[in-house]
Amino acid sequence: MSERSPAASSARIPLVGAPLSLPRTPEPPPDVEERALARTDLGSAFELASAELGFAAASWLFVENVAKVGGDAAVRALGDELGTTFSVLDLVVRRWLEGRRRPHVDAGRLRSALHGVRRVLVVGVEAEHLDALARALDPTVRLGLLTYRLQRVDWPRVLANFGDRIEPVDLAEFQGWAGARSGLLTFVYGERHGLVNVLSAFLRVSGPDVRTQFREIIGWDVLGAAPDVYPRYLVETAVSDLTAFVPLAER
Amino acid sequence: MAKSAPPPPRSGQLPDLDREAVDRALATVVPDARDRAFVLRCILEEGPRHHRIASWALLRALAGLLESRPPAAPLEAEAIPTEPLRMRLPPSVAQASEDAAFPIGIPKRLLARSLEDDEETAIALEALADGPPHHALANAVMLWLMEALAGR
Amino acid sequence: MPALVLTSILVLTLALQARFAAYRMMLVLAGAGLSCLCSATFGLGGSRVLLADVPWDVLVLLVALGLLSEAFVEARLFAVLAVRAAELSRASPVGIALVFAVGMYAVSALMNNLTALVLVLPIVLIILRVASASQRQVSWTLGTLLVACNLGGAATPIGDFPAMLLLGRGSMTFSAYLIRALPTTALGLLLLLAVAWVSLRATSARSSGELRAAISRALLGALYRGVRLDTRLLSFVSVVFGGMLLAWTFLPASGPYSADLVGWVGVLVALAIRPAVGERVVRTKVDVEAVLFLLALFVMVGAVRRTGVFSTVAQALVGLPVSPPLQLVMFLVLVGVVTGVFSAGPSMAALLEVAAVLATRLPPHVVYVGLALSVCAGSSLFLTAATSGPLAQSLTERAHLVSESGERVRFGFAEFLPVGVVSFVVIEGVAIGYALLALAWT
Repeated sequence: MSERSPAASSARIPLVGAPLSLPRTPEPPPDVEERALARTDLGSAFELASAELGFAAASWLFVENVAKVGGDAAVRALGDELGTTFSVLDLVVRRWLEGRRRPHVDAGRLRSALHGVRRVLVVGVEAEHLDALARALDPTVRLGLLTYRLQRVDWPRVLANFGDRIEPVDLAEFQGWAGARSGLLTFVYGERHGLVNVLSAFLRVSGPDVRTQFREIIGWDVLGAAPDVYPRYLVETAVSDLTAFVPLAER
Repeated sequence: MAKSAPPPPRSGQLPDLDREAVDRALATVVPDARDRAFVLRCILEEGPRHHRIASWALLRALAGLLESRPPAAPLEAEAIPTEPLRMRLPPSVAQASEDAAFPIGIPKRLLARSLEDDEETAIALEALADGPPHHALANAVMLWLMEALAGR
Repeated sequence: MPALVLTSILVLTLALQARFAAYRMMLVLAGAGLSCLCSATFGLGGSRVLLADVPWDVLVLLVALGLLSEAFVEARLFAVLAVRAAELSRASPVGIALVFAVGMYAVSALMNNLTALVLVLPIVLIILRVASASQRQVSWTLGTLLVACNLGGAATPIGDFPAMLLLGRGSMTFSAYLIRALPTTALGLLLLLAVAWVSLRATSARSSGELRAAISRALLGALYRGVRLDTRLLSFVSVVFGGMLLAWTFLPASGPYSADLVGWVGVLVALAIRPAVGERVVRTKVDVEAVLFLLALFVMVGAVRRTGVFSTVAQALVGLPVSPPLQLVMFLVLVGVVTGVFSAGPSMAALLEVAAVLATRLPPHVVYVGLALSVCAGSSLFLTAATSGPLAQSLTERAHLVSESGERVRFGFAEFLPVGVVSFVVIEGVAIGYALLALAWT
């Protein structure tokens, strides 16, 4: 397992009065997608939010705040503008316009599914669900978060919200969390015809060699329905690849 | 036995495969239902399809035999020496896991009785535990069911 | 001959380290080693003599204050303050520049501004990203923040290296420096904020400004939702820090309980409340690189000092056929420009020797406070002169800011330059104004 850097702590930096020589990060010009996102009103902001809060949490946050400032018309415009890029946001916008609101996060069923497990490795970030999970599980159950995502994530910032409760786990070392009392938990973005949408990171850690090393492989639905537009940031996998599927608890 | 061969899924469940009998037969060896589910998932849902079905057929047959022969006395699994069945984690992280062993091991009593000497037993144990987990676990479960049969 | 050789080594090393920043440590250590070698060859004393001249107390104070800042980081003070500042600014373009600049000025006056910047900048960058901020807004917001850090660092004797050097060498007492530098730097900050306000006002009038600000606030609230102050640690460290401030203020500078001793003991007491945290902080957060850099500078400057070059320069300065106030003004401008080129540490270490000679003819507090302010002005001239500049540049690059028009927004040397030139003029003006007024009143 990787060493956890302290929450909200800084990297090693020089003292006052001395020069600083940080390694220069290569700075590529913005690619087509970045340009497109920047031109949309909130595209770049949603990209950041979805990376560090999760697609579902970011979608609800944006929809609620946009509605507060501009009403349903602004929510509709948000969906028109970003919905094709962010399929989860598209679904949340439609739900909002149908009169539905942010679902209640209930970790009770998940806790049952994780009964007897001593270590849980979580794949993906969904802020509210991670908060609920950290609260619901016994403190003796270790919680790890796979620090692998195709979007740019400030992992120390994400993890700082949990103090020392959730440990960062590098992709190269995640099998250190395997065992007869271990569970692999992935967030699921809707189910349809026996298929669920998950982050591609889940496929990286649920290959045939690994599936026999975790007692539980659990999918936790955070959306309640599969997006209609092509989920470009997500991939499909079979429900039967999971040992348990915890559906969304609608309010 | 299934009436018709199930479609060839990659790793999905084979709903026609009745695992109840095997699960019941294994209950004295692996008392925790979730642990049994884990073991049976590895045998019946992971690995190539022909392995899964072959293992299921053999285990189901052994479980059927066991059910047809009422025990004289319950199997005392704890009393039987067992070789742990370790998960094959990458060496770099193997030490990090506290319980990188399957909830079932390979019983050694029957092997010790049947084989010539300790060396043969050791070779057999090594081979039985080797290979992909669905292989090794099927071997382990089969030997446990044989241990149970031997006591009836 | 020795003067020419050792001065050349110093100047060449400083120029090379400024030009080839990637090899900075190798260059300054090589320069220091060469200085020792030449000094020994010329019979001016080898490394043993030069190391004995190093102001170790200043290095101790630097390390102690750096560790104390880390203790506040462990208490999550900066992250929480930054989120509060974002709320207070309402995430508006002008608001974030003003609120964060004032905040960083206050923080930099008391502790290591780099430590605070590492935690505060990401929050500012999120607001800028949500706003799809223009190049102008990014340059002025971040630039103002950096210059405010420099001003804060010069406001107190413990804020930054130049002032610390004055305190450590006994050039000025804690309170004598504080009562003069605090108001003047505050004036500099006010002037700077006025310029920033004028520059940023135009960027506020965007149609989606309210929506973006609302999203910024909500997003920051969510991203930092679980970050809580460690009140026990914060209270304890704050009480200890308060005690240290009192000791620095009231203990006589010439007495046995020097500023570095107060820092040394104080920081260990502060960290003692969490021994495990303290041990980790001491092991991992002391920046050996910075200490080595300053050590090498002191060695090179010490070698040049032994040749008498600084006295000669100072004598030449005071021998100029102009009035003493004008001599001081010329010196302060020279300090500002040299600092802009070589950065604060090297220029302060070298020019303090000249200032010491000037201080024998002019009121010392006027010379030293003017010197510290001019170093601050020079630090603000170029992005490379301010120690926090490259840090801000690096963090901004990692934030991948893209403007509304789809262009990559940068924060490098060229983007900072307009802010730097304005800041240099403002702060150097304040320094000269202070010096002339103080001379007139003395």
